[in-house]
Amino acid sequence: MVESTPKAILTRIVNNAKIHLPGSIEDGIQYELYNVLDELLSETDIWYEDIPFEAQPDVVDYDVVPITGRIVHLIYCWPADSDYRVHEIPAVMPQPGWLQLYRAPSEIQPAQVRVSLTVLDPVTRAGFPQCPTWILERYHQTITSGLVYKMALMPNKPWSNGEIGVLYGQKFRNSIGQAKVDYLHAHTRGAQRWRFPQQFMPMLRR
Amino acid sequence: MALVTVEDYVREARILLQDLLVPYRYADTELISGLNMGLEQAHKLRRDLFLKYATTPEYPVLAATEVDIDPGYRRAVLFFMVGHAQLRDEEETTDARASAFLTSFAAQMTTAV
Repeated sequence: MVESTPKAILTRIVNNAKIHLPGSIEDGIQYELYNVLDELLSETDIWYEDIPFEAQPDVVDYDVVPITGRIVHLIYCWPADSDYRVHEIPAVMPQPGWLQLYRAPSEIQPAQVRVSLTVLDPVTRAGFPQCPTWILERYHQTITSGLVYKMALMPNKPWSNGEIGVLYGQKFRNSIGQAKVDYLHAHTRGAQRWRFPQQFMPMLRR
Repeated sequence: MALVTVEDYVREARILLQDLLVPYRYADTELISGLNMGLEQAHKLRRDLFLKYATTPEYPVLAATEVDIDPGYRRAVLFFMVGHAQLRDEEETTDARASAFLTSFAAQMTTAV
């Protein structure tokens, strides 16, 4: 079986977009690809990473550094020996990468923080932004729609087309909404859509 | 033949200018100047064609140096070269041809023609 690589999938996405955008060139599409992935990932939180750290007594500020990607949101912070759905450590992120606990623990406490990520500059040597393969596979049509939407709305280009741009913009926005739902339901068909009223939650949720 | 190098552009421009016999009516330097101006105009209209460059690439001499522009837009640059060369002449026919070539250049750069 031939395994998909990020480059192969991104090449397919770019080629798909080129078919819809007569006269467009690969460099321009690759440039816009970064913006499309950034919009998709920043608004949906579908790419996240759990980062372990050790909460220290009297220390409330921590630097959080993901392996790759750029931090968008703090999602959860919780004790490492527990589950984020059961116990949460109240915290905020005044700036991406700066974790601030509401209260410092009284003793050393191993903890984990979950942050959502988006694409990072610089791109790879092939000119593509780095992004998990599963996102490219799962959302390749969304990314293509985003590319066509952004490119078609450019002024005075051979591929400029307001109607196509608006149409694909709607498809892109709808797909972003669906991706957000996918994330909230953990990609599970028929998962609980009803949510416990947030003001009665026993802990903070973002 | 394909348009790849500076020499290719000058050769194809001479065909459209009907300037194939030595001594040439249009000097190589004039045509190369037209090529570079065409690239500058292309840069102004289509920044995406030159994303890897901080400024417009320039080709000062007649050589087998590759002109780095997407194949889909080489013909447009050639048309600019020819139109720009014909602007020099003061005849009604060349004025019309110059205008047609320059208009075609702009159209190819900005519309799906």
